[in-house]
Amino acid sequence: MRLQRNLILAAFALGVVLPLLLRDEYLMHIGVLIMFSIMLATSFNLIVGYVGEFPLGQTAFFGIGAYTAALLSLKFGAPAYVTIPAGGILGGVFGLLIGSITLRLRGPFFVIVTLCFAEVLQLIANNWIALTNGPMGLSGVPKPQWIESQDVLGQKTSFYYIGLLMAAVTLHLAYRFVNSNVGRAAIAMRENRLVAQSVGIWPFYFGLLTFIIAAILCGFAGAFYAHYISFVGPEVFDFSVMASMIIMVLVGGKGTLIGPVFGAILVVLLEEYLRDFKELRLSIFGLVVVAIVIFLPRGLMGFVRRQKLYKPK
Amino acid sequence: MMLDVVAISKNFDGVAAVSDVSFAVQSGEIVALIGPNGAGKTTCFNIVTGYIKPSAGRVFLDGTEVTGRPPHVMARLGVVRTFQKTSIFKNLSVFENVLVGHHLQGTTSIWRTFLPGKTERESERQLGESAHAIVELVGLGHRMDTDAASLSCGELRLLEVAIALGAKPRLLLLDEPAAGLNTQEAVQLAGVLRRLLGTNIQALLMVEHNMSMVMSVSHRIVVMNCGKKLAEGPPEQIRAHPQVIEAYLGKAA
Amino acid sequence: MDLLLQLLANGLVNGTFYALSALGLTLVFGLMRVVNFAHGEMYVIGGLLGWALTGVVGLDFFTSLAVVVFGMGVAGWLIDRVLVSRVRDQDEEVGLLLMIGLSIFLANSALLVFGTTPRRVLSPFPTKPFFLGPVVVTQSRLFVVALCAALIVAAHLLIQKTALGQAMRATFQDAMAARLAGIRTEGIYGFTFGLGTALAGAAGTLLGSIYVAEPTNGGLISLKAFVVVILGGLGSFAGAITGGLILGVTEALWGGFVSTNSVDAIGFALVIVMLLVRPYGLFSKRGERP
Repeated sequence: MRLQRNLILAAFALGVVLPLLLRDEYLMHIGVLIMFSIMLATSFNLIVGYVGEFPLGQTAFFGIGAYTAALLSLKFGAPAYVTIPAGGILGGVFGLLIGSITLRLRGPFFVIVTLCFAEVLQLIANNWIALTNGPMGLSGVPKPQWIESQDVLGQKTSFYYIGLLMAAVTLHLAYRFVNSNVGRAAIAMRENRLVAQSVGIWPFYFGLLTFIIAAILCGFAGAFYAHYISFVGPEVFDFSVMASMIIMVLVGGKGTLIGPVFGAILVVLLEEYLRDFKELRLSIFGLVVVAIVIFLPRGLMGFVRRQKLYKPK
Repeated sequence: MMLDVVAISKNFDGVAAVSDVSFAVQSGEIVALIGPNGAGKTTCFNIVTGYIKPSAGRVFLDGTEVTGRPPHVMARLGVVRTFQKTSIFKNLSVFENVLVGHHLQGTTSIWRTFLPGKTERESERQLGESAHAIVELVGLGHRMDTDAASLSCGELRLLEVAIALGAKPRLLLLDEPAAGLNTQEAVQLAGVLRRLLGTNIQALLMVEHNMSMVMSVSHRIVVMNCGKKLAEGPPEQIRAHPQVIEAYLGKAA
Repeated sequence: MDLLLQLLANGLVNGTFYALSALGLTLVFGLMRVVNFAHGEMYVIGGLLGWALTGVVGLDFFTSLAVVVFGMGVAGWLIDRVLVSRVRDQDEEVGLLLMIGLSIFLANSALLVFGTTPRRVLSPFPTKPFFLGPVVVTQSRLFVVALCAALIVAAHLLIQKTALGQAMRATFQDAMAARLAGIRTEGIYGFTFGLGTALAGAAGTLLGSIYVAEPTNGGLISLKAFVVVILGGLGSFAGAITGGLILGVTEALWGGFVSTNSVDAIGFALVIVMLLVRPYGLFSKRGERP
């Protein structure tokens, strides 16, 4: 844990300093994407790496967060510091709803049903024109006043720092989670459900709790995205977002804190490099997933010892 | 009367795994549940600890009915069990395994999880110390940081007991704790078990095949065969009981 | 009343298609406990191959179908031997991930190779209507329904009545015991997976003659197949058929009486309801686990 924590702190320090050295719009844009990918990947990792289930419908909460932020700011003029928490909270509410139904199931059932929920949400987004404007989406989501008044580079840099802050908070929450009694309960559930129950851990409750936390984090990311891109359409529920999340966590190494960070950076860079070749890129992603599953199941950061829990001297 | 099992039965698709079995465990006792394979002993365990619901019958703890309560609730009431096939957290270290066992002593409040204060840190420190102490108590101190997957069979058994101890049980149920142990390890385990009575553990109930350990450690023995209770009594009585001998060795030709 | 009958007929026709499509999926899960996430992509490839063979190469329908079945079967066998066998002894989720990766790869490779233009498999029967009382069905659809039914029956006979099928069922019940009895379980797994792939591909070709074959469809096809399988119970033959018919009829009725836009959602709604009421499907016997 020490190694991971130091690596993350170092990365954070680098992240703070970087914009001052690279005064470039495009690079700042990449930076924003990385920050918000870190949030998504970390939230996905909480469930995959620590509870051990595969919520293939995780994009649902990202989309909810995005639409919440868009609707609140467009229809009610709510400012960003209201919409972003709202996005998180609504994500959490949906997490509670969806989780309490789906967490009664395990394995493939859980996977498919969470995916079904995400699909239903996408269908609603496409069809409930009165609310979501259907496939045309909600455009013109306002940026915060103090950002709006800057030039493009300033805008992107500001978003970058907000993203950095949010990513840092996300990682901190994940760190606290993993090193707590609650986090240990989640890990215990993943490792051996029967024994976990015998020492007083209620699997459903802790699974649901982790699920809600991950949903809240995803919701935050979605709301942030809405304000950055200024446009929210049904594509936020697309499976390609999910595919990216999967790759980030797998490549980086699930069950570690630094894995998703590393994976997020790598994947965003790859996606940008191959941006014009969507099918080729995704094709390669698919192969990478297959390769990792077979040859490197613990991801690139797998050598990092999975959370060494606190030990007294 | 700590644990009172009254007329429990369990059918699986028409097969009666357990039929009308009753027994009790008093405070201060070590009771052994013995019988040939398939006698229904582990099923009884599963019913008492809430992993299965009985088809009939009831279970009482300190006079209150607890039939069918789920395992994590039973654990909160002080009833903790180990399992027949080695059940530990194999990717965690010995210390971490026992620390997880302490779950009920730690906080589950969201607030304190994400915004820990001094009390929280103190509580975590105490859990760590307790886990440390328990690992030493069962004799695994030299393997404190080893991954559970690398332990020997005997050490795994000790770890299982240690995890259960972390939950600070009042009634400890052990499912074949001596399975796979050699004589020396079994003696060591018997010593650990005897020392446990008198800590906050008030009674032990164990399923066991190792007869010498059963005879040396138990106050009372309950014998099962084919899902029914065959006999009950102190070790000397059971040793000489004709039906028990027959169940294990078969009828004389 | 006539409308209702027509909708029911449409629903049953579609339902048969769904049933065949889901059959491969449920077999592979029931016998191997592998969730074939790439099922939809195999369906798509079957359809595209069918187009290539009938449209470009000019083979007749039945030969093309046979080639697709055989080819996809071999491909499935290879996938199992090369990829799936390596993760068989690990947790279920690993196999799931593997198949997800494979599905992403296949979907996008298909897009790269074939582009997004929808293709049609050339059917030997025209789209002339056929009248069954007040109900209209096109000849080509009837033809496909008949073939679907034939394939379903053939698969059922294979599993229930042949020695190979018996070996498959034995391996599913207890792989260790099957091995001790001399069954080459690795070969059985390969064959089963190949069978699943072949059925998916066949469904793709058959339905590609009525609808279209296009590479972007894979995800929805997979999901619909999963819906059917969850409704009917993972691993159950009868379940796949019943589930397929239920889905087909429900979609047709909803589309006819309520709205056509949200038809796809009805399947998901059914799944969610199902999971609240009877989580393991209509036909799955799930006793208590000690």
